[in-house]
Amino acid sequence: MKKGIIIFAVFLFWLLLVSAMVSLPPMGSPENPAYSHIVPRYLEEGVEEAGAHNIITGIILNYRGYDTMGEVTVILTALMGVLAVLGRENLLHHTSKVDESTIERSVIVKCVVRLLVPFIILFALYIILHGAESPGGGFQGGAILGASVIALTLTFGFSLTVKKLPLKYRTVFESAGPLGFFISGVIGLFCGLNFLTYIIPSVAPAYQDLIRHLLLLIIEIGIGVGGGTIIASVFLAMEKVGKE
Amino acid sequence: MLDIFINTLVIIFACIGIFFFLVGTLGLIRLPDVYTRLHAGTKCDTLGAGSILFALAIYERFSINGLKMVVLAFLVMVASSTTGHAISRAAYKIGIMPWRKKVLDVFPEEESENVTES
Repeated sequence: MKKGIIIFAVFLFWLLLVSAMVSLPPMGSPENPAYSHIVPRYLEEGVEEAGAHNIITGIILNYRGYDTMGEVTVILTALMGVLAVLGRENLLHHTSKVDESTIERSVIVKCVVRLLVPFIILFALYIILHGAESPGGGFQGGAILGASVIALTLTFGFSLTVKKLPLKYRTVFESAGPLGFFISGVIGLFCGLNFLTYIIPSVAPAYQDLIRHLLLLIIEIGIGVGGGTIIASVFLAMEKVGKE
Repeated sequence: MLDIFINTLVIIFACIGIFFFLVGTLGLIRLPDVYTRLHAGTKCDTLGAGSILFALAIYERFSINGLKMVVLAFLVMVASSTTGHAISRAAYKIGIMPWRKKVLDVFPEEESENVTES
């Protein structure tokens, strides 16, 4: 009896879901509301409204600023989860497999990594700073920044990276993403506007574009530096091996 | 006349690049062990991508964009060959022996092993 009721309830719920499925607009059809209302608006007025020539950056930082702020917080929370499970590295107690191995490191790899890592970091900074103008942005540049740290750690070992990127700086940089959003958002609050408003009416109209660009840039740098440092910290937490 | 010459060069270099990409991909699937596969795989990046980028640089007449292509080709070559070196060195250090051709001796003369190395 009980089983029959459950099956009947599940069947009713299935009917509800299927009827909702049927009434959805067809997938990929050009008459969808998403294509007929939002996309023309973004494409026609996005550059002027959002203040970024790269429409994707305009959408993720301006139209959907709150959403991106949540994403950045999610990344920071992921780091907290990793650190809660694995723990921070400590040079007194930890070392890595690269440092412990008896095999001599290859001269070719060391030389090439030493040559390439500065260019990788330069490229990452270019992508972060150019996010508003061309393809790229904070997340992508941050990933490249983290990759450069990983390459350095795998070649030269753990202790060098931990010495070059000390914990006291990394704890600040890790929270740079939400911090950038906070700084840019609070400026709007102080002028009597909503959180994350980039257009401030009290500024002279000639400078409004510049101010908006600057606020977007603060967020981009925050996301990039924060994302890169978080990747580096997660990698270092996973790479550590206990010293005996 | 110059245009025809330059376009011919571009097509030749692009064809060389495509050929090495094809051979590299085939080798990655068909070859027997780590070392030979790496040998095939790094060909894609060094010779394949290198030739195609060089062809694009010629197509751009070595203007600013063309010089960017040359720098890109140099970086791809350096990074790819170093990666190949690192992986093959690591494989050798952890004791993976290079593949040897084995001949299956169907009618052994003595009661030795069926498989002999040649």
